[in-house]
Amino acid sequence: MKKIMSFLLCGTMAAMLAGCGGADNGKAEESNSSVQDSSSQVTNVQEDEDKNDKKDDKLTFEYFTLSMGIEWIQQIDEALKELGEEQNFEVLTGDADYDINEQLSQVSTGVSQGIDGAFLFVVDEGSATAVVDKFDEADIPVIGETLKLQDGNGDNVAPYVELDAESVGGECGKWVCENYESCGVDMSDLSKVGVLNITSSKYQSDLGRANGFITEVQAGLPDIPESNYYEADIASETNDDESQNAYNLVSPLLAAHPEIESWIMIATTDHFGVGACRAVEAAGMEDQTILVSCGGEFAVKEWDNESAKCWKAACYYDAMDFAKIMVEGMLQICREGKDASEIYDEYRNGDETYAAVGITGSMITTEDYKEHVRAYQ
Amino acid sequence: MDNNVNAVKKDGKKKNNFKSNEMIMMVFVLVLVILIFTVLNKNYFTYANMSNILMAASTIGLLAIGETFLIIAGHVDLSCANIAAMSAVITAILINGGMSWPLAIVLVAAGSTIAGLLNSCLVNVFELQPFIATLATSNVFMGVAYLACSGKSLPVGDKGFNAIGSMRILGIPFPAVLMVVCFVIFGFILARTIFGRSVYMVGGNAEAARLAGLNPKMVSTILYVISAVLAAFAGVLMTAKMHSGQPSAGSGAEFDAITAAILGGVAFTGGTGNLAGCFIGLLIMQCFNNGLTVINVSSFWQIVAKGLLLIVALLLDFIRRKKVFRKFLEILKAKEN
Amino acid sequence: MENYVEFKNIRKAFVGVQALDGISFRADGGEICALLGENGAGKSTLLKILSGAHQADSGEYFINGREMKFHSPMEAIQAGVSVIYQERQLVSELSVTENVFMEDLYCNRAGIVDFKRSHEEMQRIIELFHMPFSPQTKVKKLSAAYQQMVEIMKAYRRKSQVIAFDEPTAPLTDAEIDILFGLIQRLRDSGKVILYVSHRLKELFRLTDKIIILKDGRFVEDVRTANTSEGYLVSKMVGRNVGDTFSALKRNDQMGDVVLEARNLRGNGIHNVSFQLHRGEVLGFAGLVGAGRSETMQLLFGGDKVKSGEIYIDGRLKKIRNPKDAIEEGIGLCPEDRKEQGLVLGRSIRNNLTIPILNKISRRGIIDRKRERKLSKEAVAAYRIKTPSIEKIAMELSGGNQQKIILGRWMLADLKVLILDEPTKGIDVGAKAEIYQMVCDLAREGLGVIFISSELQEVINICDKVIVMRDGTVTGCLDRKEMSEEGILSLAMQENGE
Repeated sequence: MKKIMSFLLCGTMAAMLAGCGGADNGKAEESNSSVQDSSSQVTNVQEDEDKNDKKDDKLTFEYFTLSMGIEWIQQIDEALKELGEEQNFEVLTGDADYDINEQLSQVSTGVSQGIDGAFLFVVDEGSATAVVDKFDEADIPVIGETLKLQDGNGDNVAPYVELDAESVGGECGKWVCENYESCGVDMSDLSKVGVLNITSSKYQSDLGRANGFITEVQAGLPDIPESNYYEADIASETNDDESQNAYNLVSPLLAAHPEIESWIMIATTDHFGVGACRAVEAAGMEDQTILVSCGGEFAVKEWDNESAKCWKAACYYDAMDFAKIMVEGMLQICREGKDASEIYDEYRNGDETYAAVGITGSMITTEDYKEHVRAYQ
Repeated sequence: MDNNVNAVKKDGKKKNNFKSNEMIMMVFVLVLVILIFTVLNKNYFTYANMSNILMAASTIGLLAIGETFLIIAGHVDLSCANIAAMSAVITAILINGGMSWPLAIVLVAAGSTIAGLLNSCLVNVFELQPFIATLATSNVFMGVAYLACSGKSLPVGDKGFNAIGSMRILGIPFPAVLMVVCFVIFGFILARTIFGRSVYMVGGNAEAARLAGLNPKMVSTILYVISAVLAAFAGVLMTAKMHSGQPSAGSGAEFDAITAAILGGVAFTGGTGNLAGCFIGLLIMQCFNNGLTVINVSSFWQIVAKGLLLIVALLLDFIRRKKVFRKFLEILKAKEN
Repeated sequence: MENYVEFKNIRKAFVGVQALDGISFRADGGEICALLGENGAGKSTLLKILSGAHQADSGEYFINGREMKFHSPMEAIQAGVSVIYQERQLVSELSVTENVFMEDLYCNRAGIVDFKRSHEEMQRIIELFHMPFSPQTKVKKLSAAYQQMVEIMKAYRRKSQVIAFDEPTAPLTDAEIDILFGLIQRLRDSGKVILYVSHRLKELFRLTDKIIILKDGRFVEDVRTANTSEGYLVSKMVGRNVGDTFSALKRNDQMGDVVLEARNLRGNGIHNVSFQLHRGEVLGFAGLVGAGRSETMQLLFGGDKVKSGEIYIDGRLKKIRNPKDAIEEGIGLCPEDRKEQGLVLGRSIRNNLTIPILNKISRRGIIDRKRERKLSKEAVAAYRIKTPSIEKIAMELSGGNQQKIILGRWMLADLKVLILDEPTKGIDVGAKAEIYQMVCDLAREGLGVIFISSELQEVINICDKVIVMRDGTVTGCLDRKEMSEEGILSLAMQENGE
């Protein structure tokens, strides 16, 4: 009985494999034929010049990413697809759902399906070489996003477009130092001002933002005593509801330090910002708090509703800015035949093989956000 | 023979004491936790911080009530947190679409009964294991939450609605009041009503309960619906608290809820436990979490500490089960003799 | 060298019970030594101490003169003790070989199991025992009896010098018992010490050489089987001379109208079962295991779906879809499997007693606790449930007392018909006598009682009428005057051809 079953199963699997292969072939043929239809005259002329042929073909890229649950990643994905329609390429999406092994297997699948190029939001910076190696083996160009693609020595293993975390945090810090007097918060006695950074030590980028912020504030407001710096680390919570966690961490900190009369807070993401903002309101301290955040996607929604009085500013960066640079580099490789080491020349640092593009944001506030944010233009 | 009967009587009495001792022990642990943190930071035991603790406990508490009922009845619901997320998002959509918020809440609560019925259907009609069935539906509900808002958080501008999350009754945050009221009502139902008794009987031995005239499938169906509706309220509270419906709301909170129930002495084997225990378990957990932040323990140590707390709770359960304690008493008695 | 086991002054207390109170005796190799006593006398506890599952509080035990102190079953096994429990300790998904060689399958040097060699060795043992299955057979495919044989082979393979049996015949048929006894006798003849626990007195006379009588955790007497009688043993283990339990029963002699009638019941393997039950009547159901007696009752009680057929109560046609309907119509059931189907073992006596009457003791869904306690105490008193308190957990009571809780439950429920499915299974002689009298009392109060039992002696002496079933159909109906063991048996085993 078992043997019969196993034979049957084997048979089914074989049939399925054959079916899948067939389907793939069919698909490939179909796309080929459609290309031929649309450009049959051209192909007749350039039959032997494969490389040039690619120039006008529709390319297929895949965006391998951390999790589509993150709003930022959705925006990148949308921007890539929008650019794809303008410039004749298609973007697939591989959602690893925070799992590096899942990402590796998605990369293998993508490679075997013959994608032309890859954008990579690597799940874990430490595993960047493992993922990039897979693309190198298959000779498929890859451009990183947000997280660094470096090996153990800190050398870039592929070009990438990253958020310059330190400078994003720094922008926030600078803004606070320059504008704290006009925020309507009483900070006449800086020894009673607390600085709270709400971050997650699980993510390098978040830590960088917090560092940049603190460095600037320490330089700009040296009268705030060292002991008034506090941290709320979301990594200490065991579930994934980031806003709720920020709320649950910030509120006891406020209660634990009644000696602090006014607060300067930075939320390294807007999700933390919402939670922190609500905790401040629940403690009745919205008139004594300056909250700034990195990202701004949520701050603007709050400002639209004219709530979040203490959320004074955010360092805004646009997914489209990222996507444009990523696509530009990728098309240079695929259409102009450049090597991955030749792109982004103006961003190259010294003798690096591959360039890293650092993007920073611009500060937006309740008054001027509509001028800067893409959605309002 | 007479001797024997006497022995039995004595020990029977001792056992009852032992049971109420458990409750006293739990309260003792809670007081101890509060005491330790108060000593470490005088600002811990303040009105403001205690209401912080209750506030943080409120949404998990609602989920924990449903879990306690289900676990006592020999079931479990891993989907409740995602039902909450789904409800949070849908509430935001309805209110942003111009619906008055009381109506939106009623609609969401009504809708969540469908989620509860789906869970019940998988478990009772298709006889799947509750653990597996609700794990599967949990993904479905999460997917629905993300689909409904296309993955984006939805801010809610309705001031009246947002007040639910921030208003205070007699100085206590409303979400906390709601949670305590629910604990009292459902605690009464569990301890004193026919339905509550049925929950215990079904959890202790479903077949025996059925042959004695109870309807185990009906009981568990009602429980899945209760769990789903409470989860919907938790979702509404989350939205009101954050002024926005987030698809990631409550993510992972089902485990916090189950942890609270187990800390409170609800056994996974079913048939035992009560809501008072669960409530104290919840408070211990929240007081502990809050305290770690107040005394500024570094974040990764906090995770370790939380794990240790759970281990301690499970050890308590082990002691209860293995009667190590009673054996210890027996040894003492023997030595006296 | 002669094998022997000796116990000296063993004591063991559990919460609330002094299970063993200074037991001393000796069992020699080459002898089958029975342990006899009511439930709760301490037989099982003693075996558990011998097998290392429990540890004695005080006292010593010796095997072949060496003092032993087992802390775990593994130590006991290594010292050559095997205990074969009522609940078999086999892994049903694994083969006979894997079960028998459980802890040391033959391995090659790399630590990989050498199945070929293990199976060969197993085959040798199987041939020695004349068993009809193969080493590769999965244990779940074997009957209860053969599973028992696998246990015994395991003990043999371990070269155990002491083998104890805890109620081994409970699930076996007569033919299977013969095979088992043959095996036990062969083990005895090879010089092993055999301890044998059973409730069935007749078996002891067939099999054993010596009988140790225990009562309330104390040693009463040891007698040579050849020099004693059943009556003597019973009087010693119960502590009073029950005489003929049955002749002392106060039976009901007035029968009323028909209270329950089943017409052409079908479903769940039952074909066309019809019968009538009168008020005050004790109606017996006899038949072999699997004849469809319990299944018929499940149909009557709404536990299983009725395919076709009609049920009349007090002459009116009733639809019974589930147990709740049945209880509302005044039918109660004491199910066959007390622990699985009858009781919520983890809850108190009070909780267990009041399940079917929750509606009656509640107002607007809220339980009246005073009333519940009062009724529970009444039931405990009326059914002489031995317990210090109604809050005691059902699990901690003996089998007889557990059965009485279920009877008490239905006393509270105000019934017309009570169905008892094997109410005396696995309980001791004293409790049995009490239950017989309770059945008769219920009949005298005007209830119709259906009494299922595999012990024909019971059926003949308790019932006013007996219905015999076989393969899901009724093969005969005997009046009190016509009843005899032979008559019932021949109907129960009648061939289909007729």
